[in-house]
Amino acid sequence: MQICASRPEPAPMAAVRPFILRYVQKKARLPGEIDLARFDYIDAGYVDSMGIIKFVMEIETEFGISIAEEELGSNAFRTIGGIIALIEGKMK
Amino acid sequence: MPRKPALICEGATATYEALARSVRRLAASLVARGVRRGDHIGVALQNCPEFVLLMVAAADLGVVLIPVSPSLPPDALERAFAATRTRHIVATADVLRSLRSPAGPDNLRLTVDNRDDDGRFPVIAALIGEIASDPAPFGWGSLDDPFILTMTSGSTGAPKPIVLTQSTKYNRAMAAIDSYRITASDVTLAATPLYHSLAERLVLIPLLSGGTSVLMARFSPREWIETVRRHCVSFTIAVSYQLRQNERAMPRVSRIESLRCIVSSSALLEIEAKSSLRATLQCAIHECYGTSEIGIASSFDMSDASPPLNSVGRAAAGVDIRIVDDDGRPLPAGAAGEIVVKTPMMFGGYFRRPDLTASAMLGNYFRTGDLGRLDEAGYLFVLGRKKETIITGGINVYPADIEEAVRGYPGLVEAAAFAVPDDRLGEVVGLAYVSDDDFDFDLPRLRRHCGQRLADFQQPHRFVSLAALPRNAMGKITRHALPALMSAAPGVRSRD
Repeated sequence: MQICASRPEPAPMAAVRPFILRYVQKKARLPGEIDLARFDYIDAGYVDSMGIIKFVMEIETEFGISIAEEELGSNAFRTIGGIIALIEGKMK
Repeated sequence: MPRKPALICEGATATYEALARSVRRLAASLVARGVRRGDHIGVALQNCPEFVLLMVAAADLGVVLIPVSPSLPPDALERAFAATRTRHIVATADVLRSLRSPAGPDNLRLTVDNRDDDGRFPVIAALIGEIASDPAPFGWGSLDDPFILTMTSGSTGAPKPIVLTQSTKYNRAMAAIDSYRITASDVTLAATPLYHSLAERLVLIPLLSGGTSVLMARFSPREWIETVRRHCVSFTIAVSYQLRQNERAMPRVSRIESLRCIVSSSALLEIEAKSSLRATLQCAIHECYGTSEIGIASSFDMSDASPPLNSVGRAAAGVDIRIVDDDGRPLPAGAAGEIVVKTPMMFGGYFRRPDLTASAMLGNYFRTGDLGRLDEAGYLFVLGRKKETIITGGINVYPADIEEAVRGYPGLVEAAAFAVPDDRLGEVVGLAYVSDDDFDFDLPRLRRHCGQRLADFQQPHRFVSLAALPRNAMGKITRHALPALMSAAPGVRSRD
């Protein structure tokens, strides 16, 4: 059986924003006229309660970071701007 | 009627006229590309209008669809498609790129949106656009044809696809139309994934009764309430976890005038939630019980005279429900045993597994594996599950799939997946594991491993490290003991 290891090299910081925008648009495209930084993608169902764990796991694997329990419940995690800043902050 | 909205999804509306034309053109284009009656087409898509077009075109062509979650990892998708003899695949460009099986004249690879792609995969909308004429329906499909193969096990070596014929799907939709008195004036909402049999039925119900189908691509309580309001939804069957979440969001909203009937399915909705929803929405709240193999077996009608609120109602029209003991002998009213069901909405067996189909039946009755009892008045009470399936957000998860994904993981001696009660999703997956060195075991890495090897709905939310898995005298893992061991264990790690 093939064992998936973590990525040998985490993706660079410039990849965070495109990665998040691509992931949250798997179900449907984001509307054009929104304030991306403040957009609550969870409230709008772009990532639902069934998909949240895989979302976090893929972020951790892609960028070689760890997201803590309390961060998952934070308001920052719920917005597109917030989660990008959260990931970038951990990569510095 | 031609100008009436047939399908509304993500802000786009298709009238009956437009929908029918798109279906006929899609069917013609598929045939021009080599699709033949009886072909199997895998569908790994999120909810979108193209999914619905494919369903109707497949019925016309006598083609079989295999809908699967697009969040399954590539090897699980390959196994599911191999087990179902899938030739063609319609999926997101991401999924298509990840598959090893090559495209070819006999293996179409189609997508719905190639915005991130180099145009490698033809897009359904373009296929429809390339047929200039308005072709007649082919009429190749018949009621006895297999129509949809529903996967019951996503990623183990032995999936058990359920065969649903055109007549099964038709009978199930018509039974709902009769039971819930659905008419052409109803607007029916589908808010669950189309790879799950419930949403397929919810789309067919309005299309077969001349109503309007509203298909949600994404679910959150806020979106649900807004969608119902915006499109004046009057009927839906929802999985109970959605209703529970909606009910909590309800105090912020007032009555929704358009809603006349909501049916809760997949797991029992608590009496408090049921009463609260009814008080807030002032519409009929039904509860139903069933499985993918049998469709709806029982239905609960609040308008009955004093129905027992914790029951799932009485047998649906034409359905016979019995309670049997371990030897398959019928039990009297009041006694608990396995629920077995005889129904005209019965599945067509497990795909190419007559052995499994035979063992799932007791004569003409399907063995649900659920425990229940019937009272004197014929009300059914579901007491638990005999099978080990975990139902999270209305979707079945099979412990074997989770265990297979972590088997052989470095440092992991053994693992067992089990159901953990969850406030939001009804149940979530828990994973108990034994490692060869608990002190050094890298749990975050195991979690990320699950992230890559399992679909979104299969992800373990809770992990518990044990010295040994609990087993009975026969050496079989006693999964039902695991939640208590999890609560007692010092090293419980949750992830939500």
